[in-house]
Amino acid sequence: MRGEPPKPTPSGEPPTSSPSGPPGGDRDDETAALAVRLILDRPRDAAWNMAIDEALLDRASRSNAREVWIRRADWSSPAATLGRFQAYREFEIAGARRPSVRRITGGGAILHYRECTISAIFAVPLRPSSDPALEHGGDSPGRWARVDRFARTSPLDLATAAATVWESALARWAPDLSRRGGESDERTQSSIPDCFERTSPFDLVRPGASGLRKVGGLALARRSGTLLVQSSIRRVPVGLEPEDDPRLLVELAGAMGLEAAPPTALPDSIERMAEEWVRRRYGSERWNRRCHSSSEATS
Amino acid sequence: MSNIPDDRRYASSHEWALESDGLITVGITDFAVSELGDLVFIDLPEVGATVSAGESFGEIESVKAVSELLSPVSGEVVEVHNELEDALDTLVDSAYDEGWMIKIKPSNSDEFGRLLDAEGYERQLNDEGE
Repeated sequence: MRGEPPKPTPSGEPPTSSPSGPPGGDRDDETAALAVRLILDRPRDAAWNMAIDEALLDRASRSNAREVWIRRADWSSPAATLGRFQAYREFEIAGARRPSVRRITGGGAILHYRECTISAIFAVPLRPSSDPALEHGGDSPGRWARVDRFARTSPLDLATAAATVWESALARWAPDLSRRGGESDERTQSSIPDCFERTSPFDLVRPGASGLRKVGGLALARRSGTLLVQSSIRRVPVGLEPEDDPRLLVELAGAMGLEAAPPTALPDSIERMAEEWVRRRYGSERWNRRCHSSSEATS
Repeated sequence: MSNIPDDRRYASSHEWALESDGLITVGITDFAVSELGDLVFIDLPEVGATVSAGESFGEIESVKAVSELLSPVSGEVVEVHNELEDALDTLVDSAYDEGWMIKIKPSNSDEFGRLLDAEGYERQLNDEGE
């Protein structure tokens, strides 16, 4: 793939706290437990926040572990993230003068600081149809069935499923929050730089004085057997305070049918992997400003 | 039921591979296109890139999701259908012909034969509950 950096070598073992059994089970061992980890991360810059998500996704795709990570990112200063294929020029025209990095997920630019950024990384079985826990119910059939949806379904269904989970998790704070729904028109929307100026069936919306108001957005990336969902929730219109974040992580896990221990800090081993992704990708102008469309390349 | 031509082979990840004159032409199936939904962007490799069977050779974005495109065989990319970037509807209209993505000079002659034939791919789709 063009511009793909060499993959960092995974280092260290996953954290040991898991209510669902020992981490690192073999994906071929279909009875292996699913580990769920909730991370309440400290403030970081944009490159580090993206690098941690990529490190977790990379680790998930290269290990045999069945695990789900749900991380609340925090921002040390205002920053912006651009969609994977978004034109950098469009973003500059939008006047968002702040440090920016390119995500690996789709969609438009997000301006980050005092919003709530949540990433969920799923490493789930590649052959779920032969999973005894699915076929015979297992100890928690709902859990497996719901997580399984993230790996098997089409992007359209993936985005819908993710938005449904976020909608359910946020109901505690905003009972009238809902998915926008309707038809997808992403190609037309792709020319609008700011994610929150776009409309999508997967938007999280609340009723406002002039109709539905977008209060949250989701973007996804899928790699063989793994899935990354990045989300941005506007705190004020949802009534979500920073001290609510630990509860939100638990609610998100619950909305997926998962049980999890209270949130912890990011393990040092993941930080070391992320540092390599900062160096090779997210700290690089080549990645962050790369062109994708022929019109941008020639202008 | 999706259209599945029997003149080529298929990867379980829904890419097709057509052998001709020592080259393997690669694209994605009708089923994959329909599953992806509203296509927005595609990123293909450059001529001269080396690809490996089962590994990513590009990415495609639809409905806010970026998905990998996996190469069915290993080898060197000798031709790229760059026009697709500005004509993604071609994939919808003609996934098996005008919607081809790359041509590969294979480095392992065994890999093509190990791919699914049309019947096997159709069976997989049925198993997946198409």
